[in-house]
Amino acid sequence: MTRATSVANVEATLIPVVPTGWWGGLGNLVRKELGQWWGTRLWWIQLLVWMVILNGVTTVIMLDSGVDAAARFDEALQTFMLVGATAIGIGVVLTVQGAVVGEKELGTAAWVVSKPVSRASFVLAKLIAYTVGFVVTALVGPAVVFAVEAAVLLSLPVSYGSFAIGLGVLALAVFFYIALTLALGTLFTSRGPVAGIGIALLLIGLFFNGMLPQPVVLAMPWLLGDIASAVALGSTLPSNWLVPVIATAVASIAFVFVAVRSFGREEF
Amino acid sequence: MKTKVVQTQSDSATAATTSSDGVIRTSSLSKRYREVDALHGLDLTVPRNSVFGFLGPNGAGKTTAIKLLLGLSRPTGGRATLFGLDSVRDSLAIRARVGYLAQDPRFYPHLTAREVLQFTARFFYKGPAEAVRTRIEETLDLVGLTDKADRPTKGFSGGERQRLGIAQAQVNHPDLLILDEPAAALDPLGRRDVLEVMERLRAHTTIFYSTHILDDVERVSDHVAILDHGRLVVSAPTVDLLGGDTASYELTIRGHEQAVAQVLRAQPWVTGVTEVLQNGLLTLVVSVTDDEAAESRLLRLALASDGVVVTAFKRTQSTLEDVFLQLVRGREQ
Repeated sequence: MTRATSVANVEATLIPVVPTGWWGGLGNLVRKELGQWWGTRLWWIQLLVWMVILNGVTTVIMLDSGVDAAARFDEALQTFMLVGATAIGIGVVLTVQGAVVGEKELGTAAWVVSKPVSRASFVLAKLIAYTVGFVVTALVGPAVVFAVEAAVLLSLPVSYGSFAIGLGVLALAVFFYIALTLALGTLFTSRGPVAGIGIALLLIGLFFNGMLPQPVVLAMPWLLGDIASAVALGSTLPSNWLVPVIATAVASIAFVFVAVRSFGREEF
Repeated sequence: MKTKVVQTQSDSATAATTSSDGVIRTSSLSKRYREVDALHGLDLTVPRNSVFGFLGPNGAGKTTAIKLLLGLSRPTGGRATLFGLDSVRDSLAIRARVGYLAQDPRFYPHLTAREVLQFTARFFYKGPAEAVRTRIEETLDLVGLTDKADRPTKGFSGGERQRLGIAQAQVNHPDLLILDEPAAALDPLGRRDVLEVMERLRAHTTIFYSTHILDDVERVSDHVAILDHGRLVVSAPTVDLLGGDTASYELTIRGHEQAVAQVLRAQPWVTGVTEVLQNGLLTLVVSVTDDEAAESRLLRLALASDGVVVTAFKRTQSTLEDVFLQLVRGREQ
């Protein structure tokens, strides 16, 4: 058997992909995007950064011997959620700002969409991979360290159910900022406005939310840290707590829709 | 670059639906950016299994046309079909059967050449892994990148990126290969290699490629279209374009030159006689419409005149450069 014949025999078994619908190429793109997280040093750099930021602060609080253990636990948990809501938001904007714009600049976006892949898949793959990446490295990783520290340093076990729901609220904030940044990336051609708008939104929530009308504050994800903290501690939830949760979820879906639609109309 | 390209059953199956009268057909295809007509009313047919050179000066609209075919941008007028499928409505199905090399191919810098091909191949094949691996090895071999397969592409030279670009464009053994300036960024050796790869692939696929390098077109293309300022100037088989109406013969003579010129001008198959004086010798450049008549009678007619000595006689072939300059300059004037 010649080499060409044997090659032909092996290749005759190739099973073609039949590209259909808005999910065409999604699996391959998700795999590639996750590879960029877990196949490079990105994941451990992110994990390290978030452990230093979140667990660093909470460790200092837990080691403060002047206060009783239960109070230290509450303060540490509250700090974890409040700092997490803002800091992770900033981290998301800074990390995701180049996800779409960078590919448009480099030319890889045009290359990928010249393959049998839907434009929606290009955006959704990034959404999925960044959400998984941030939830694991910025939330789950530091949360596990927090729970272990609380048990070791304070001998107080975390209430896993409440803690998980609190983390879920933070995950919603993370998803919001990822969806927002991806949408901005499809609308603009440079990183400046993409990062600028996301960071500005976070800083307004941090410093100026007291000056803004309450409906505006409730419609934004700024209160999610307080809600997550209250849920995790089992304390009374802020009034109208459901409004920011629903508004953030709806806004996130709207941003995903905008991103998919805008990238679908992109001309290369 | 040694491996023979093998068309698989799955590739052939998709080819069965190919439109018989043209893999690509465009009808009044147009693209306008604000006030600029990047492409105006392009009517083009690319025959199956042709190597179709899409020629034009920089900014002629070649890349715009290619992007419209691939659905990377939307036409502002007219339409294009590939394999009988609409370029806008059926873009996904079209891209499943096309391989595309961009003008300046870019890849994810952290991926190796092999990983780029694996990533590309997964858009086309579910498996089995061993067969996909074989295809990738064969493709790396085809473009001469086997020894650099495991190097991240961020360290690749322009030529290596171009080779990888061709590899990823043909990893699915496409029915149609669209190459945008495949040899523009390459040195002469790289250009030669790329043209060799194209010649090897022509047996299995239709190749539609844009270029402004006239020598390359003359060497590998069997069909040529010339685009200028967004408008199609000509589209024809290369042989027709080079030989067709523009065939001419050079006759270098001594003696009664004017008499010979007069006799030749009187022939119905002669369209023109130009006199060129070079190094004291007169050369008559005779344009003809009938090669057979010219080859059998032209020399005899010249020698029939008394006192005439013919020192040289040859058929001259127009180069693509002559045709290109004539057509493009003609339009400018």
